[in-house]
Amino acid sequence: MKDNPVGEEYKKLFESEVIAYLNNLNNLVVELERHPERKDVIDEIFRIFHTIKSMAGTMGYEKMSQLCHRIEDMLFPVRNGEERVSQNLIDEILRGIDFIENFISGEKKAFNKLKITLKKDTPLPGARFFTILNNLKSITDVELLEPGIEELTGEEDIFQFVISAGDAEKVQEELNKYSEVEGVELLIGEEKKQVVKDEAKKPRELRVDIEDLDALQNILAELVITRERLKELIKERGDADLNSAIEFHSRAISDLQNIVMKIRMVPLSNIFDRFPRYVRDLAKNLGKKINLKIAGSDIELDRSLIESISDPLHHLVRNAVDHGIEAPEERKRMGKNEEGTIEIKASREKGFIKITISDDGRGIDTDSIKIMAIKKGLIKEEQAARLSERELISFLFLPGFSTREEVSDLSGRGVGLDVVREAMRKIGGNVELHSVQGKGTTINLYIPLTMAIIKAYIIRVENEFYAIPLTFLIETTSVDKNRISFIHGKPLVILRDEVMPLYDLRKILALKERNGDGTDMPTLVLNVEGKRFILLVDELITSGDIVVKHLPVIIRDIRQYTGVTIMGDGYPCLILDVPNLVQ
Amino acid sequence: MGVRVLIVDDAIFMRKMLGDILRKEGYEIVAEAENGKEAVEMYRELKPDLVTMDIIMPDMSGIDAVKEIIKIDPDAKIIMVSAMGHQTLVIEAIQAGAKDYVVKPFQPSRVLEAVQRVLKL
Repeated sequence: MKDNPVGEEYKKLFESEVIAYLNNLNNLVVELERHPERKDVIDEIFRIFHTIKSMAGTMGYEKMSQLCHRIEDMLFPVRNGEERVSQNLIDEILRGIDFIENFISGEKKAFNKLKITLKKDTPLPGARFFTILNNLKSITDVELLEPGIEELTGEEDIFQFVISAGDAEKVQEELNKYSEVEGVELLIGEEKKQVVKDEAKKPRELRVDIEDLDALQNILAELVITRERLKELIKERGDADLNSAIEFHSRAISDLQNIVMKIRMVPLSNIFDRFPRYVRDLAKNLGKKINLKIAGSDIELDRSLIESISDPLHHLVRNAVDHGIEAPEERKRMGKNEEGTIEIKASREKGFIKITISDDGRGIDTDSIKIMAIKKGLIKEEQAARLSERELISFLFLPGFSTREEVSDLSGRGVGLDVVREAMRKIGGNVELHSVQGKGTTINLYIPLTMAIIKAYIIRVENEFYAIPLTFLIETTSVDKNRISFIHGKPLVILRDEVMPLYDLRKILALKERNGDGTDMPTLVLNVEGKRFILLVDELITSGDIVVKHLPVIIRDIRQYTGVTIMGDGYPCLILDVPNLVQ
Repeated sequence: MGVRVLIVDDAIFMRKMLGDILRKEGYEIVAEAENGKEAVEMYRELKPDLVTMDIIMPDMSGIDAVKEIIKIDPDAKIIMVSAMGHQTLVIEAIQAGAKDYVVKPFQPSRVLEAVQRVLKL
């Protein structure tokens, strides 16, 4: 049996490097399609294919290497200015990119390729192998590559089988139990070639197990909690020396916190870089013309958050292409530029990241939302007339609500804005939608920088403290009891020309009513999915970093809380699930 | 307590041979059944640790018996006993939930290997 850890190492490196190149290539080709005159783009594409060609050659991937060579040949006359960029050329390059991508993902699947040989005297070898395969399936990922499954039951006895396996070692271990097995050979080493890497090119990186990072984060969280506790104690003692010592200590922990966060951070380009090609392909299929603008790709986000927002973002972009932007003729008729614009923009706000997806398309038809809501029995007709645009739009976030009767094969797929909202909620984020009919739609996602330590506002009701994530907070203010008006028995406050419902946290949490309302009641103005409301509390305490801990199982099902944090004095403080408070 | 085995075969000869091989190694034969139907009833009653199951029998085949037994106990450990040339049937039995098989005429070592392997699952 051949063992080949070295080949495997190079293969991984090759794959990750090529994948990075492919992302870049996709963007470059889309750019070239829009601006065929960009000579620098052609040169860059040429250079990348050239690099992949020699890398593939070194790995012994003949087909990939030949393909790159062919694309180089096609690009040559364009580089010299002898030929122009043709649609055919663009398509060829994109097909080439897809081929390489498929090749790599296919390679990954069959990473451990094993050839298993049964002894010649094995009775019913096909059935024997089928049994072995069946048992292997409970141990690791296996797939029969050769021969086909139907040949196993065939007349002819087969004694050699090729499988792909997730864990070659475990397969080996299991096979030892079968006396019918003659030998196992690891085939993956076949492609091994000596590769000498330039020492200077070694990336300044280190692979780290994500679990170790999580553990580090947890320890850090404990440190933050004890720091707060120490601070409180020292404050009580009033000792100046201790105080300055804890200041230094505290700064060091903050630095550590920043570094740990930084290690976990991944730039948004991980998702954003896929969009040019994605939008181009979608637009082409739908016969639309779209100019995609992307900004803020370099902004970083916690790795786990990047994973959670990838699907919702794709969904929103797909919506914009499919439902937002109109067909070129329609746009022309309406006096708009034939080419629609979609903008994806990320920006840093305090304590969170804002991602905006906007289009200049047809906007959301609030009339059809109204009709749908009445049809579904959510509101009565006379109520519908009173609802504001914002209130109507909020129906879109209800599970299963959609204004499109027909499910288009693109955006439909049963995934609506409700799913986007759910995904945001899971990570403590917020979503907001603005739309003007005929002008376009803008969706804002507010995403916390990290899920472990977040910025929150601490408030008090009765003797308990509660935390409100800053992603929902617009401002804190005080409300005069005499300025509360009632409509249909529901309290409302007019704040800077906006009518906002008022909720009393005491009532929501089923605590006893406060005695005596003042003219200066502490409140927070909160925003959930674009709907604003005022929350009345007993006292506004402070804002700061809190460490999010999962709720103990017993109270996990209570809708009002998303988690718990430990305050400086060791006292627990529940984190309010703002979107769920007022529903 | 030893491992309790149920032997299912329509031929007394085969049941005795299998029984002898297993008893010699300390396995306890709790019952013998001569067709699939009997096998299912006995399985339900005795809950043996292991079953050896002939494939072709009158009154419910071994494969149908496997399906029925798996319904009663999804973790049932069943080893098929098959004649040469019944590859397709064996595969069908494995798909139905049997864990392994031996081929008649069997060598004692092969039978014991399969039994030990299956008991370790």
